[in-house]
This record gives sequence, C-alpha cells and structure tokens, in this order.
Amino acid sequence: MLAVLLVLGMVAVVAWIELPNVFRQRQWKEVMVIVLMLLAGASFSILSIILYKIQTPLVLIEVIYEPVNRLFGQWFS
Amino acid sequence: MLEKGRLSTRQFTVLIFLSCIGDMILIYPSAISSMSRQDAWISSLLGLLGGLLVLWLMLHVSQLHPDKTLVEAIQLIFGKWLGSIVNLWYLFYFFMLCSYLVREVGDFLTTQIFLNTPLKIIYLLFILLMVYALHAGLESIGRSSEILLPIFLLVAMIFIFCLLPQSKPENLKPFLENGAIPVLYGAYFASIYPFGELIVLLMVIPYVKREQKIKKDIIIVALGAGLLLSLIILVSLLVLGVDMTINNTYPTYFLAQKINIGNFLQRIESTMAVAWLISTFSKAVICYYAFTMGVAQLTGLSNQKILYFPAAIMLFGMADLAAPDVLYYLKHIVPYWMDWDLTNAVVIPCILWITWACRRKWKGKS
Repeated sequence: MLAVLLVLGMVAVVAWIELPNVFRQRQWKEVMVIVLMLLAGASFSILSIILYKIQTPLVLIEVIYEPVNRLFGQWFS
Repeated sequence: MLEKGRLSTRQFTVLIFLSCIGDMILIYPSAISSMSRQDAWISSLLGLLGGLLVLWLMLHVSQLHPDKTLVEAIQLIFGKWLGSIVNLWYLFYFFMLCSYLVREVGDFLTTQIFLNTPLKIIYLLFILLMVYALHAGLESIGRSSEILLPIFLLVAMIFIFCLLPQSKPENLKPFLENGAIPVLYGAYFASIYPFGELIVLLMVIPYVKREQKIKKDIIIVALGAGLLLSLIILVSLLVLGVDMTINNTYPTYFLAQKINIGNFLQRIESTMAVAWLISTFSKAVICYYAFTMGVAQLTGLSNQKILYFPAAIMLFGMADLAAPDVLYYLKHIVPYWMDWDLTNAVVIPCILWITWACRRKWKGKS
C-alpha cells in the first residue's frame, strides 16, 4: 500500500512540475500528451509494484512473428 | 526544430560504438553460442559483414531527408495516416527496447553485485540518471560518452589480455561440427542483433554536424565494435568452453571472475560490470531520447523536454512488466526479437527507400 502511495506521489510531483506551465500557455495538445503518458506510467508502475501478473506487451511480437519464425526455423534446422 | 544541440562527428561515432556494443557484451556469447556452438566466432565474423550492410542501408535511408529524423521522414514519405501507424510501431519498439535495457541492468545488478538492494531501487537510480542526462542535453551526452569511451576500451582490453593465458585451443574443436547451417543462423543473429538496433540512432543523425567522411567513419567504427564483440566471444569460447558459455546467464562476468595473474591480480569483475554499464547506459539513453523525441514529433509538440519525466515513469513500470522472468527475455523472446529487429532495421527502411524513389519518379513525370 505504501509503495502504491509512493508511486502516486511521484506521479503527482511530475504533474506538478510539468503541467502548470503548459496550462498557463494554453497548449492543450501538450497537456493531453502529458496526462496520457502519466496515466500510462501510473498504471504500469502500480501494476509492477503490487506484483500483479499481466501478459507482457511482447506477446504481440510473439504472435506477429510466429509464422516467420517457424519458416526461419525450417530453413536453419 | 525541437533539438538545439549539435553533436560533432566524433561524438556521434563514439555513441555508435558504445550503443553497438550496448548490452551485448554480457549476453551475446551465450545467445550466439546456443545457436552455432563452438563455431560461434565464425558466425560472429560472418555476421559482421551482414551487419555492415544493414548499417549502410540505414545510413542511406537517413540521407533521403538529411535534416529530418526517422519519425519525420516516415511522416513525409508515407503520408499522414500510414506514416502515423508506422511511427507508432517504431515508438513501441524504442520504448520496449529501452525498458528491456533497464530490466537487464536491474536484473544483472541485483543478482550479481547488489544482492540485498531491491530491484525497484536500481531501476529508479538508473532511470533518474537517464533523466538527468537528457535534461543536460544531447551535447552533454555526446561529450560524456567521449570521456567514457577510453575507460570502456581500457577495461575491455585488460579483460581480453588477462584471459589469454588460460585459453585452451581444443575448445574450438570439432570445427564445423554440424555443418554450415547453424553457423549461418548465428551469423543472422550477429548481423541483426547488435547492428539492427542502431536504427535508434537515425533519430539523432540530423543533429550531427555534417562532415565529408561521416559515412566512412561510421562504418569503420561499427567494424571495430563488431570485431571487439567477436574477440569477446572467441575468448569466452577459448577459456570456458562451449557448454559453460551457453549455460551461464552472464558468461562474460563469470570469465572476469576467473582472471588470475600470479595470484595477485584477481577479482576484477566489477570493472567489467562498470564497462557493461557504460555501454548499456549509452544505448538506453539514446533509446529514451528517441522515444521522447518521437512522441513529441509525432504529436507536434513545441517542446520535448516536458515529456522526460512522464516517460521515465512509464519506463519504471514497463521495465518490470516487459518480461515475467530472466529466461523469458534471455532465451524465449530472442528469436522473435531478431525478426522484429529485421523488420525495423531492414524491411521498413527498404520499403521507405522504394516509396521515396517511386514518389520522386512520379513527381518528375507529371
């Protein structure tokens, strides 16, 4: 629990450093990108901190390259 | 233009050297010798030729739009929609590559050196160092890599020369035991794994001060890096033998523990770890730079510096999520990762080049 709070605190600090400036200059695109990246970062970090088992994104690569890999395997065996 | 700093040619070639070796110095011997066994050194030398071809292709593609980064060039050549999709693919690649490197550093340090330190703390320290380096700017990264290169080379040379007395040439026999095909597979690995990942440097190449012989310099430096990798694999086969090389997670580190000159010069493996950290750090920082720069250019931001901290938090989480265990990313994912590298370093640049040529011809006619 403490670790999750620490991660949230880290995210809050980063938001506090980066966001006010872009808000003041009304750069909405910047605000959106930062918020999206912070949300992604917070969810990744919390998932990794509480040791929740999820599939790695690299499964995507495995699925895409499975046929190619089998072909290479036939050539090189 | 987002980036104001400029690298000199020498700083850029040093970065190429360090990131070509990158994380390879520790894991390369076990990965390549599990493919071509005791002939791994031949594969490595053959793969060097292929790797230089790959590098030449990438340099040629970077010349299509010399003042644009890879992301901008893809956007220009493929158009807005297709370009955005290809760019997202590349950004995913840079991000995963960077978190993979952070993960490797964390796992290596917690299992071999800092046994009681939590893994997360090591991630945090490494990522904070990268954020600091990027905030200092691209020029500072170039200059610091110039300082770090001699240390790296010194350690690598000491490592190789101190191990030569223990080498047993019979470890390399039987020669070509399983025929040429496993050797070719190893050569494919050796050409695509260290050299293909240099595609991240296309995000930096527009910010290099152009000089006449830059292409030749880059090729020579990459040749040097490939030869150093081949030497390391040769030493590890000569001293450890093929089975020990395959079954060790970090054979080079294990080798450094065996160094013993006259019962006096021994246990210098932590200098080896420092050299590995130097090269991995250079590679990781370039990937991190490429990722933030790519996001900023894809979404058209006015300033990429605001993305450094958010990207750092994403890295901190993804370093853990990227792989469930060490075996997954050192053994299981490697064949798939090779194909991924092949796509990103050879297939997509080739398509890019062909599309560019077709477009120019088409425009010339109408």
